[in-house]
Amino acid sequence: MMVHLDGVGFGYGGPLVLHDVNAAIESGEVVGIIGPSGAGKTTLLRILLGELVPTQGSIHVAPGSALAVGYVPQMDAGERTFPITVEETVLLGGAALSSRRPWFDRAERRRAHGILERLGIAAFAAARLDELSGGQFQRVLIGRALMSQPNLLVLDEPTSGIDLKTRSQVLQLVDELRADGYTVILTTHDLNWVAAHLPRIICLNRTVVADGSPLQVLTGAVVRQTYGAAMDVLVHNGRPVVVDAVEGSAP
Amino acid sequence: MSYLTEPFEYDFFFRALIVTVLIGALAGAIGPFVLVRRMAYIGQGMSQSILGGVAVAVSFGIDLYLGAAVAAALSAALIYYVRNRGLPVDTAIGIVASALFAVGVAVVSSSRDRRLNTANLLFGNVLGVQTEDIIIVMVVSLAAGFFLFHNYKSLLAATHNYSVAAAHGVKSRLMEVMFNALLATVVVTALRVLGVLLVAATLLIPAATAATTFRSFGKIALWSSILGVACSAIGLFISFHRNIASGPAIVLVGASIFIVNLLSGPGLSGKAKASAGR
Repeated sequence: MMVHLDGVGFGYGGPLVLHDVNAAIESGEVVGIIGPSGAGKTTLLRILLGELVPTQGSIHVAPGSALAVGYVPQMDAGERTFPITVEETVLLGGAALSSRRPWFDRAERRRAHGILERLGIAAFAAARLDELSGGQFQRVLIGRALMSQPNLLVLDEPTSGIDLKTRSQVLQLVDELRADGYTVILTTHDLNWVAAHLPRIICLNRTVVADGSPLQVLTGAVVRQTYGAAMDVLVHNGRPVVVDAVEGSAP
Repeated sequence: MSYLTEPFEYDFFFRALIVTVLIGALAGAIGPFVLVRRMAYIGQGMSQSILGGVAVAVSFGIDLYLGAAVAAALSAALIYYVRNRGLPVDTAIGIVASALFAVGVAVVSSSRDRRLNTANLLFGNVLGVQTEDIIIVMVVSLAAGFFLFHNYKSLLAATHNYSVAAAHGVKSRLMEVMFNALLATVVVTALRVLGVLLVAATLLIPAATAATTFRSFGKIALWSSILGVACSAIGLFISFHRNIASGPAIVLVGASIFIVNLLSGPGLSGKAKASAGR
């Protein structure tokens, strides 16, 4: 067990937006968190990032290890227009681990280039962020997170607002990170994407509604309880596929 | 040649040159951070707010820098308070800066104190640079340089994305507080030479010129600082020979370089299009 959420709850000074969240994330797992807007997904991520302290319950980390989180936020236009190169952006992921000198040393630059090579964007090292495609930019953000030497990667809506081709690239990247042994937690609204590609899903609506494999979790009843709306769940090639309910269809 | 040597026959010019060059370097170095944080309006608002503090301080025989520092702190606190009452930050800055600027103008216009020269306060005056100004600017420059040298990477990470930097172990909140304090200090320190109306321009123009020329933020920060020094020195010579206020002379040199640079090359967007077309 890498991280254990034990009865975690949180409220922003008012009613709890999360309550009694229990989940254990094993090292090397890739977990998708799904839920409607306002379900508490972002709050849960902010708790994992250490930005928020739970008002109920606690988070336990495996004995003898510290949680080092690499954070990949939602793609933000403001961040993308920042006058900075791809190489500088990735290097900044290691700012807290670096010396107090204003420049990065050779070893750090070698590491950053290794990450850029690994992510297939080394050719863009000197490019500005606004010169990249959506998929390339997403890779830079992941590269910055990897530079922080994390043992847990947190991706916030990595498939939000991107086209099909970029989504496919992100998916491939998550698969590669899993193969490299990274523990990954991501949030998404894309039910069929997680159902097709992630081994474990947590359905969240202020608390954990269901937790398990896509086939176990994505049932009509669970989806209805999570999203508060009727949706049909079909099984195609052994995978669940969630579609809008057709009027008069069976619940 | 005498154009360059003649000003040094006057002690005040040498003092003013030291101060303007140091302020140019400092404003140039923090300018790129002001630019990307979209704090241009805050810099402008803070510098305008200072007029009230300076006018009141001079009227009561209190140190000019103390009055400016109190006004800067007061304006920051008022902007924070007004913003927290639900108004947008630009509205908060507009109200607070205009009100404190009006206090300054009211005090200056009603005072018969000859030390209160409106033009000098608004546009700067190199003749007013004293030895104590040099000491203050040197101390501030050393402290700011030390902070920027040792925290450049953390400050840049927190500026690029506050939450990501914090998640990766950077003390983002500390960087935020320290940078705001640094900005207020530089604005107050630059007051004597640049005047309250033109401080913001010296923060922005060298940074904007460098940002339209270089891709790397490191190069932008370095060249912004170099441009800040160059504009200050050239502007001061022009100020001396053409008998115009130092603040406008420095800003006009910077603006000229910015325009020439903008018109002479394709700019980064043009370069990006060219490389994308290959």
